[in-house]
Amino acid sequence: MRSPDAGWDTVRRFIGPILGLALLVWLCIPAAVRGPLEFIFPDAPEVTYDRASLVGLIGEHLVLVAVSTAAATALGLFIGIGVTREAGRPFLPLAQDASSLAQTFPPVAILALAVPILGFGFTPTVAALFVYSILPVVKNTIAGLEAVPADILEASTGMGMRPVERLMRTELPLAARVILAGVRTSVVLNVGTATIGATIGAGGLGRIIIAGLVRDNPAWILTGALAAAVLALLADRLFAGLDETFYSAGEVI
Amino acid sequence: MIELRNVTKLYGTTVALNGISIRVAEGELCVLIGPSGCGKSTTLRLVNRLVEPTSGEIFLDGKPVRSFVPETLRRGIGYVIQSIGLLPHMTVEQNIGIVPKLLGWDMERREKRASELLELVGLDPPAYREKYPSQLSGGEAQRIGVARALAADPPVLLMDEPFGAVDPLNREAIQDEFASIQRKLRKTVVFVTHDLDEAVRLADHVVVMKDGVVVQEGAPEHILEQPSNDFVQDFVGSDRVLKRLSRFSVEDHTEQGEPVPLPAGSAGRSYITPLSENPVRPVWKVDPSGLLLGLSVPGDDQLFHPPEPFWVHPSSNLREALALMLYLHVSHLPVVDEHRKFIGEVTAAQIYAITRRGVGHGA
Ligand SMILES: Nc1ncnc2c1ncn2[C@@H]1O[C@H](COP(=O)(O)OP(=O)(O)O)[C@@H](O)[C@H]1O
Ligand SMILES: [Mg+2]
Repeated sequence: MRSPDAGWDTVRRFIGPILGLALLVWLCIPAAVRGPLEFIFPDAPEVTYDRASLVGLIGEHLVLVAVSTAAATALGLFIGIGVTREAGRPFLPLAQDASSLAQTFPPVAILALAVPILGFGFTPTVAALFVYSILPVVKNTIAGLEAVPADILEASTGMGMRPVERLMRTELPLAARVILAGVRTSVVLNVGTATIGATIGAGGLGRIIIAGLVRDNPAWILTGALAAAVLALLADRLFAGLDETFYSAGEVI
Repeated sequence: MIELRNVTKLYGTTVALNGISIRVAEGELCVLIGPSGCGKSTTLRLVNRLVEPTSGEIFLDGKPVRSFVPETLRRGIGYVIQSIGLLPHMTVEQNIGIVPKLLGWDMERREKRASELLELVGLDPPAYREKYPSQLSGGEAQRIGVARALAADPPVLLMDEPFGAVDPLNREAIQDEFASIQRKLRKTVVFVTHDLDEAVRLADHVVVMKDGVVVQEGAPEHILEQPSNDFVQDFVGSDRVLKRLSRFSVEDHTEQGEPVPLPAGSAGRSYITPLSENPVRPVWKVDPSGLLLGLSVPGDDQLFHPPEPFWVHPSSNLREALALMLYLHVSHLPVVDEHRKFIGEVTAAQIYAITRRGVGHGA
């Protein structure tokens, strides 16, 4: 099983996340980043953001992403499963079109639309992220469920599975990988998109970026953007790791 | 017991079944055969309610199938399809355990049952239990498909071209295995195929279908002997005489031979002589314990010992016996048991007598 290259493969797989994590930790220590940032931006008045700790902002950011993605995954699964059942099938084309169309909608526009309804702050931002990230989940849930081979469905029904049993024991396990890929897209997308939530006061890493723009401080912009990018990378690697864990060794299809 | 009474099935304007009636007796293996699109699969799927009839009624043990909850009905009927449909995310053991699990069996009982069934279909349980379907060959997967259908010991099996995707080399072996399993278990089986050899090999009863109707039914040897019309005649083919021979066993057509014990001291003599140089009726030579040694021609005590197997077993069929006769250029073959103990002989004359009954009918 284990080739001589396996050790090197492991190194390659973990080197990105480890470097990313190290970068993030480093960014969180003001004393450590001050020197290099002052060197890059000699004109900046104050290179470290002291109105909130970066750790706190990262925490807010992750809560924004986690809450919106969790809700989007739940509803996305519900819609995806619903429109692939016999009773919901008439709505399948609608769901497919809507999910393709809505992704062409800029997230800022959704945010702008959410403000008059939900006001400023955390809630409208989560709502906007939620709406935006349902789509990849719906799309992949439909794709995953529709790709379950007809003969496997026939065998499952023929053995006497009830519709719910068939969904839980046959369809979802077989669609899980594609659904997981949809959630991964949502999360990565949301880590980036969540930064704009700061424009309506949702907190998160967007806050330091916006502050940098307002105060004309490129060091803050760089810090926020770098942290958000590393978070997106780490989230992506996390899902890649999940995928590799569950779908290695030719166990599935 | 399964009965379809005057069943019609329409798909839109397509008439899939046109008022067919079929009875399958308990413990009988009934083969539905006919060209593609004649309604075989539809017939099968009416029984486990994957398809509902447009009109007519289907009975299982005298009860209309529509009186069952479909899932309950299906859990009591084994179902095997050509593409098998093993669940790729489950091990062999879990696949076999699907219906038992639906029926609420505990883990221990399911595992025990899976081992029994792997044994039954000729796969080593420790080697196969933990495998995934993607790690199986076509023939192995098909055996697991059969094991899975048998898991909850249903009295009825529905099989839709179950061995259709197995390569021809392995197909005969798996058919023979299934035939021997069926001899043991005596399930009521409805078996769909478009392969006549398979039907002849397995069926107790054959239903020949065309365009949604039954054109002829009966024992396979009967259909091969007397095709009722041109369609069946064409379908069974010009070699139907040979096919029919495979329905007759050597055991039922063994005549008393004449074993002649060798004189003492001559047991070691053997001559390698082709049988074809021996056109006359042979005398079978056995040793004192009855084991076949060879043959001689009457009036000459010289023992011939052909270099190749020149005998048949009681479990062989007459088609195989005839093939061996043609190959060896002889008209008589000794019948021996698995220890090569002499039992009797089969003769070309008997085979001709049987085939003569089968010609001259039909077109
Ligand atoms: N689900 C379906 N929808 C429409 N037509 C069908 C369906 N299933 C079968 N048919 C039609 O019914 C006829 C019989 O099909 P089938 O029972 O599958 O035949 P076979 O198994 O003998 O090849 C065919 O003409 C086929 O096209
Ligand atoms: Mg068919």
